[in-house]
Amino acid sequence: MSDSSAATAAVSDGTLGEVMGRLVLYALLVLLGVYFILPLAIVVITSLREQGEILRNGVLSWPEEVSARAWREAMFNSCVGTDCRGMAPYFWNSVKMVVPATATSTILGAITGYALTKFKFPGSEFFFAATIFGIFLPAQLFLLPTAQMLGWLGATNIWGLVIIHNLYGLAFTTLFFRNYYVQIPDEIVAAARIDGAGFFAIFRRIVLPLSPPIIVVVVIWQFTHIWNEFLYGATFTTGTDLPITAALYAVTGPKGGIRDYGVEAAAVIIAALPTLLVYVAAGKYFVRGLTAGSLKG
Amino acid sequence: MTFSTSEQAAAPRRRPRLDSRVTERLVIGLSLTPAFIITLIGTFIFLGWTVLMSMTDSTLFPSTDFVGLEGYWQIWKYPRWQVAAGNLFTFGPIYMLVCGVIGIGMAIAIDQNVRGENIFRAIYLYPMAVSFVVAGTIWRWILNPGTGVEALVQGMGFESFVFDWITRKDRAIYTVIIAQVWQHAGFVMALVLAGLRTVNRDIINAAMIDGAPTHTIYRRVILPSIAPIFVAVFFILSQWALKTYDIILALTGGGPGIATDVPSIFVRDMMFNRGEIALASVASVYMLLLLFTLMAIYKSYQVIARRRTKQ
Amino acid sequence: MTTHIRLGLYGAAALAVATTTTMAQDAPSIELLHWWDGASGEAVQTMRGLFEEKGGTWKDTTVSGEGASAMATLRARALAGNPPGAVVLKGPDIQEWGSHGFLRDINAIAETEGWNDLLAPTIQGAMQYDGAYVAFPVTVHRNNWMYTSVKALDAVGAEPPTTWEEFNAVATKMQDAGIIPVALGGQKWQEITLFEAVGLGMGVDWYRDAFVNLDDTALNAPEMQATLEQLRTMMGWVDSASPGRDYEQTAAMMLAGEAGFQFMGDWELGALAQQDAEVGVDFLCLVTPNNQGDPAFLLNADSIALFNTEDANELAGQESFARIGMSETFQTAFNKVKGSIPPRSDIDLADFHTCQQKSAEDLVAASDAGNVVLSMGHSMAVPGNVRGAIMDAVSEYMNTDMSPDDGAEAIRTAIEITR
Repeated sequence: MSDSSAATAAVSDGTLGEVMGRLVLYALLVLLGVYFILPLAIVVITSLREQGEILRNGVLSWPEEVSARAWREAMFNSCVGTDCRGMAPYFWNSVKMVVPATATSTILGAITGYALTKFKFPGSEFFFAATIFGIFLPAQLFLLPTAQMLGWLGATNIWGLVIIHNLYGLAFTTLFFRNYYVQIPDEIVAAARIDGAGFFAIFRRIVLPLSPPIIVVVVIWQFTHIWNEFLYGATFTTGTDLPITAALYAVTGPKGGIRDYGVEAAAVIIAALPTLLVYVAAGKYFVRGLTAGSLKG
Repeated sequence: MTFSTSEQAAAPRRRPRLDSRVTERLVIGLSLTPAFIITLIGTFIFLGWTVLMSMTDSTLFPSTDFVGLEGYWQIWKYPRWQVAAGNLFTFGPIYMLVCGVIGIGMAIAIDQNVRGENIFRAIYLYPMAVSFVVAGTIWRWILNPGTGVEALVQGMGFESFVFDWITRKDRAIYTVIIAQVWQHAGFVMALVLAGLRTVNRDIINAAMIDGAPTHTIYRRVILPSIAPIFVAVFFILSQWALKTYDIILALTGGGPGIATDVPSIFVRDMMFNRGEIALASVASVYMLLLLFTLMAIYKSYQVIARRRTKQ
Repeated sequence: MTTHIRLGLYGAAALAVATTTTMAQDAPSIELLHWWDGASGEAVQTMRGLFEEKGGTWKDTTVSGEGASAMATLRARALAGNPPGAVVLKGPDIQEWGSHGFLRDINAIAETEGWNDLLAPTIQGAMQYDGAYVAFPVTVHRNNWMYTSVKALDAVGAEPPTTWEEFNAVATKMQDAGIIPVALGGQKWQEITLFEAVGLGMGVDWYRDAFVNLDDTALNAPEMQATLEQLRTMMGWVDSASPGRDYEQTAAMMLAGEAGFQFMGDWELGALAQQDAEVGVDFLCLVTPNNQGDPAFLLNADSIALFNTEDANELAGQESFARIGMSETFQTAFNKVKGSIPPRSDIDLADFHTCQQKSAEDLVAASDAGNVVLSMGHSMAVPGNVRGAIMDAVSEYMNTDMSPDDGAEAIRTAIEITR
């Protein structure tokens, strides 16, 4: 697969019409870019302004003076309930949850997708359909039965959340991996089996080395979803174990007196930073991974 | 990357030894056990739980006293449910249409060998990465007449400028669309762009030689060949529309009044705030029925498409 | 109560604790689930400070969003078998959780601490399930306050209104002077607060019959029509940026004189203090207008219920917490910040806010006149599903141009289908 455009050939050299067309095209792209980038720009600018200035000139305005006060405040002093240690500790809470949850749900999805495509058995199609059915279910409907289950397991803590994210993530990860592995020719696997390679040996030696593009897609997908999840994170953690989304909700929620827009803006960016970085750094591979076949099926 | 199936000649199959086949089956079985348990519990038992609860008199806590299907028509007496269900059918299609058109448009535009493609793509895609609390907070500022666009434009001297949709009962639902399209259009773009990049160049070249203009090539050749992607886009957008929840909570909280209520907010409110587990379960089952309908449509499309390619 | 007796009581309490809770005396811990943020959040700090002073470990679980999310968390954790040790619970919710066997009987502490002598009978009843204390009260809020902007009032040269007729006259003048007469934040709980104030002003007994006892005759009475008509008029005096606005921001508008009247419970005092506002200079705390003369008291008490647990540290923590929560020191400090009055009747209010002193005086007068009403809108009177359905209907009425007749019908239907 090359990155080349479907319309590469359609571009010919510059007649006047062509030039005008390109101008319109770029104008359109930039215009849309403004719609998408503006909200982020506003938040970044607001986070760098002084509170007094915001109150004087309004929320949407250019900074007169750049200040890092709001960032310091949001990172180390903003209050979540009676805990005024800022967003930093909650950031780590989320990291502690998102890393194991992403890792386990990705591995599980890879193994399941691999088994369902390369070792088909009667009913494996049905098994697949049943597994990915979960994609379509709004997770918040299942809060109460999940609570009951976690109670039985005695896991109302960070591991409970890891279990939950496997519960609701497996459908996606399996779908992605299965649709990718379908394209690996069965003959390669068959040949390896003849050579005496077992289930895991084939996975390790043949399938895994071919997997990086789809692993990138799945990890990005799971990482952003788990990082951004709010309801379960807020419900099954206690005290200062809240994930960052819940902490952000508390910081940007109703406040006594006048809102500190600068701190809220800085908090918003802190909470979004990891996922933003992942998308910016690996967005290219995300689209490529999608191209590599995770769409079909 | 692609895998070529033609180059590798299929090796003649030999039958592996019996005992190794038994162990292999065991290994496969074990490797699928976690997925089996997760699916069984996370999907089917929980689904069963919901259907069961919808037919009981559960209020604050789950109860097992059956009252049958009474709840299924009782729910329509709730004005809030009427508004919520109605909103789904006005909000849903508009959101899907706008999101689809912008997403597809962006994909085609980016596909024209533009300079700085990576930058545009990153800008369009990044809203997918932020959580609803983030998106909701940002858009609440922008849309609120006191802090956002209205205040800005009035501040520039246009005193009569009004943009107060978020506070208007008949318009607030459209502000939800603005924010949700912002968040999801990039993903549609990514999907469609991925599809465009798989289109066979030979077909395009052939059309070029025939002297067809670019837009005709798109309409007649390129877009039809990625029809399955559009179906996938339609399906993904429709289930997002149905699941819409977080962004409304953060943006309007369902208000003004009950104007931006949707079924998933109704469900959560009834289940937790009101202690009406049975009623919430009924609403959930209605949502699920709608999902099944969509899936049936999707599935029958796939069957038809497959038949057509076989012919 | 003399010092002697008090010391004796503490001694007895210590003894009781020593015998009832085994071991782990050194590590009492408590987790409090609440939704108090902003000014009320600061009040929680005082609670925490006192608890930690006594050597306890404090775990704070704040769930933002007007209690709804907190209840979701509580329900999920109760189902999962690990509810927090202490939860902010009110009115009928206490009975509901008690009936499912979740609440811890703390009668032993109540007896040694003499709670029955300290609390008014109505409050005692609300803290008990099946005759035993399962919760303790920490505040008595009054909901029917009308915070009035001195600037706005001066701008139109008007006297503080006491009846709806007077109110409407002043409001009209403000409207003409370019002032927003009614400062309202369009969130459901703020809307129901306004609704209750108006309804109460149409007749205390009627309001109690209709929205506490849910009596059909009262729900069909002419007062219903009058309430909704007055509300309709008042919605015409609300600015268009109202929907979704927090009450603190709304208070700022009132202080600045951009708006005239804000109908809010006395937790507003906390927000006003944070904005350095002074009573008499920046604002007045007036009782909401009423047509029958005697001032009413719309009561809304915060209380904390203790959940059953087997953890020795938590059991010790709960006992320590209950005693601290009912202590004079705590109730004084906490209520000063919250804007409410202490549930303990033996606390001297001399250095409380003028508005709080007025609240305490009015409570006594209203009790004598039989004019104390439990707040339906703030979860003191009717089950959560009925309250929610009424709030939906009221909010729908206030935000549309529904006629008062249709509005009344919608409220009646809402009550009908949930009952």
